[in-house]
Amino acid sequence: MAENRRVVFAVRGITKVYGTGGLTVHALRGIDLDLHEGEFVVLLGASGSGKSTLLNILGGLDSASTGEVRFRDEEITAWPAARLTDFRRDHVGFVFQFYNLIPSLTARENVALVTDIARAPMTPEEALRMVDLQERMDHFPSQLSGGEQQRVAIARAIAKRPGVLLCDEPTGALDVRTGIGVLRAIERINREFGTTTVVITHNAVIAGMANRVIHISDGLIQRIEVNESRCDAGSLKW
Amino acid sequence: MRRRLPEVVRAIDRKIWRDLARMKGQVGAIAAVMSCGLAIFIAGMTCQGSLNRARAEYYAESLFAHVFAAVKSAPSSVTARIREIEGVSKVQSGIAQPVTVTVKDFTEPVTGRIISLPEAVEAMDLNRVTVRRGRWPVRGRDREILVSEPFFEAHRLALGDRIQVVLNGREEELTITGTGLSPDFIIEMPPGGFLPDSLRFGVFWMPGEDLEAAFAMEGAFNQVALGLGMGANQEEVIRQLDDLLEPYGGLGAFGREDQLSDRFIADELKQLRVMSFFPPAIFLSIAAYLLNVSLSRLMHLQRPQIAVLKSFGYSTGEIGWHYVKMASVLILLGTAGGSLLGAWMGRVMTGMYQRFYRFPVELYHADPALFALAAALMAVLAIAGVAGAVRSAVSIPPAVAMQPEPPAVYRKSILDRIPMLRGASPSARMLIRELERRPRRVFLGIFGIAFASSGLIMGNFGKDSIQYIIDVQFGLSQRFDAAVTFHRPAPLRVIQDLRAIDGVESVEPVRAVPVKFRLGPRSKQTTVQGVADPERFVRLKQLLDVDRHLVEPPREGLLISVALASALRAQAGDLLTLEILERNRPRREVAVAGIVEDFEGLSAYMSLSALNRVLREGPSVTLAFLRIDPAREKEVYQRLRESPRVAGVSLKRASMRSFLDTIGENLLRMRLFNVIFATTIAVGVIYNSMRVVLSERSRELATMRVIGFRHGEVSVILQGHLAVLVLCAIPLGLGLGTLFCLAIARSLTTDLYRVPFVLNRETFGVAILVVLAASFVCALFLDRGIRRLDLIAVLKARD
Repeated sequence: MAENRRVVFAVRGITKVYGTGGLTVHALRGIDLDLHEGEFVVLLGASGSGKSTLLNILGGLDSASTGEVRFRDEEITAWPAARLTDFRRDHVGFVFQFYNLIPSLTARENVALVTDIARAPMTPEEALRMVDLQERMDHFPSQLSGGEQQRVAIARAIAKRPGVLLCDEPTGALDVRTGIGVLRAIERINREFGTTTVVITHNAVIAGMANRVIHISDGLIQRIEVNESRCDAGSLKW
Repeated sequence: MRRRLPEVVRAIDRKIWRDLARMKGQVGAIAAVMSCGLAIFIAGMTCQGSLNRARAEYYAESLFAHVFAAVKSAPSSVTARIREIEGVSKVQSGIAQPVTVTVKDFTEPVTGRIISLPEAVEAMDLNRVTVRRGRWPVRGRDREILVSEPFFEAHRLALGDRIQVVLNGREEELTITGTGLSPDFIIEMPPGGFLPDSLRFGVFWMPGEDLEAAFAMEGAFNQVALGLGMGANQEEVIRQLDDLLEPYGGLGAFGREDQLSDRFIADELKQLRVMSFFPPAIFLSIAAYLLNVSLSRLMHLQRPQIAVLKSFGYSTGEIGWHYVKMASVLILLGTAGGSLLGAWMGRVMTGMYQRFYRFPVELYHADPALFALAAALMAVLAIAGVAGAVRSAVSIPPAVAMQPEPPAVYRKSILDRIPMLRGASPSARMLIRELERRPRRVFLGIFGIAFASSGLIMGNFGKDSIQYIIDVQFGLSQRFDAAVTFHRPAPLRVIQDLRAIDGVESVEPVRAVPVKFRLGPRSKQTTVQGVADPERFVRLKQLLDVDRHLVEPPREGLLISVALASALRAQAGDLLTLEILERNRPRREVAVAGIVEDFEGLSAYMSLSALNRVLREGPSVTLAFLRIDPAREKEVYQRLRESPRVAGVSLKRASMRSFLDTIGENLLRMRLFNVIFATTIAVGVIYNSMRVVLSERSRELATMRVIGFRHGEVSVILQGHLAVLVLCAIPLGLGLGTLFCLAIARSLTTDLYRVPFVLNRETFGVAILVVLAASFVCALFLDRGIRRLDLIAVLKARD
């Protein structure tokens, strides 16, 4: 199914080496990967396997040591920092494990932070409705639960209608019930907007939601599983 | 176990160095502010201690008198009666006369004071002259004299040189056998001058018999000094002395506190006390505040580390001690820097004082106890700055400290309710809410920067004040080129003689009379100047009221200077009692007609005719102001010097130049110190406050960068924060600076001189510019900090 869609990211032979001289760490040792439009991909691997490095390179936060990454036929690996900033601004939505909301802004304002600078955003209210937070729009982060904060982060990520949504351990700091609420929101975005979604996790259960599950260890893709049918986030249990 | 413990302690101590090395910018800024505060304290205290010590030592060694009196002429036999006054232990009488002097190759008028000496120093019971070079002069032989050391040095004279001195109208050639210093001339002030001028005023000592002969005062004296025994009643001694001397033309006895040289030192010490207390207190409080903010932030960042240490079994006390040790390193740095800087500044400043105050002993004295006191003071202040932070950090239970912190609590604020701000961008809201959340810190930050700008204003206040004095005194008021003083009251016709000199364009006569003013319990001794009728003589010394408008003395009544008015607490309309210190010391009552702006200290003016009525005598002059054709200045001066009546001539241009020369360099140096210190505070406060804000907000800023904000869009949030601090601080600083200058002007004003409260626009401009420049530099650092944010690491870490 996925193969018929347009390729959003084409990753060819990327490596990432941290440090210099005797003490170097090979975070990625040569990754080849295509991600397709509307696809839901889960990156599964132990900590230190290189999955976050891959995600950061895809999102334009980090650069590869060698190899190339193309986003819709443009080679982002060659872009300067300013161009990467614009790339993130226009095309990428990020969700982090620790939410990273601005504590001095309300939920609505946190989303407005993005809608103010995006090209064709939805309104903050629309975005917050997508994650079922219309009732809590004027609350500050300190007045929201962890799950609610993560949903605000998702609303903030998708309000610009990004081409890709990159989530790094979005449920890592949450309990099962709130985690599932957050995954539901991600799933809904992916289905309704067709946003290419990459979720990093070390929770194998979440893999059931994906079109493809990419197992990474030691800086290499070990195997790729294709799910014939995706499960609902609501049906997940761990 | 016991053997391993020291290793663990060493590991935690190593953490101190690593942590400090990481914060080196902040550490440097805090240590610099501390050093400045401490340096001013040490320098001020050193000057104060040095002056005090040198004065005490010198007074004791030279047997400085307690009571002084001048008299027209009294027979030597009176000294025996003075000795009988109860409480008097020593009496030293002699002759002192004003003289005009000619030094080879120096064409300007020079005046001086010549004082009689006994045969040997041992014969001086009081105010002993110390011979610094050469030898004691011997009578008769070659007309020998001692010359005051500053005069000797200023003119680069040599022993054996001769100078021309007009003694009682006769010019005589005197030979220099040595140089001297005496405790009653530690500072040598020319009469009517603002500052010592060693080129144009000197003190000379001559064997008593020679001087008596020259002035036809054999067996007489015109000045006397008294030493008092323990428990003597000075007031009573002065009263009895006045009574004793009255028949001989006593000019009023006074104590040490009114002796000119001593009073200058006392005023100086008073200023130093102010200087070594207030500015250091401000500096050190700011340093303590910076230490508190920076350490609080550090401990906040290290909450998990503190928790881990606690879970290992480190006690709260041990961890608290760890941070106190970290603070001690800063204190040590500040103390070391401040001590070195303070010792150097103290030396520079005592050097400046040494130009004015001459002691035969070394003036500079660094007191080791002072440095110990400074270190203790720093420790107390720094611990006060650190204690709160340490207490709150170590009191959190480890389990809580290891949890990620909940998001900081923000609330909708008053600003959110202002309709105009409803449309504000999220970045603007972030800025406003952050400022509102920490009002105390914002306020202290603003205050710190404001203090820096006020320091810059204080730094330039001296210049503005002096510029004003020059403008008013030398520009508006003194329209004359030279002032001529006469030995004794002369008939009015000498004015015609002066006017007849080729090159003299106009002359204004003045009659100056020594008086003692009384109003209620207060009394002040000074002179009244009787100024001539403006219809008959050109006014060459203008009187100005406080608004700088010209005023004329009324037909009756007195005009008194601002300084005299405030010393007596007199207002226009008050009736003053005038005790005339001439002849039989008559007393009169005269009303105050107005107040005049005058920087000569205690002065009073009347119309000449009114003064003559008060004195009940005919017209006479003691002083004349001259306007001279500049091309013929030298010839005029030569003619004046030859006149037997003339006791002294002073050129306005020369006194103005010497005033600027003397004070200019010191002012420049003090301004430089001030600007350096104020800039240090400005940079210290701004840099530290903003580093802490950057650290606290790095996560937010990194998030914004990740979600697509450009560098400039993120940077502006912090720069906006900085701008708010600076823009609030500048007007506050200008206001504070103005208040401080007003306080300084008040505290520096003495009977001897008045410091006008004047601040020029440039002073404010410079202060604003320096603060803006300091902010700009900090903004660049801040920008670099934002550029260096590690986006990935910040996002991975929990706050």
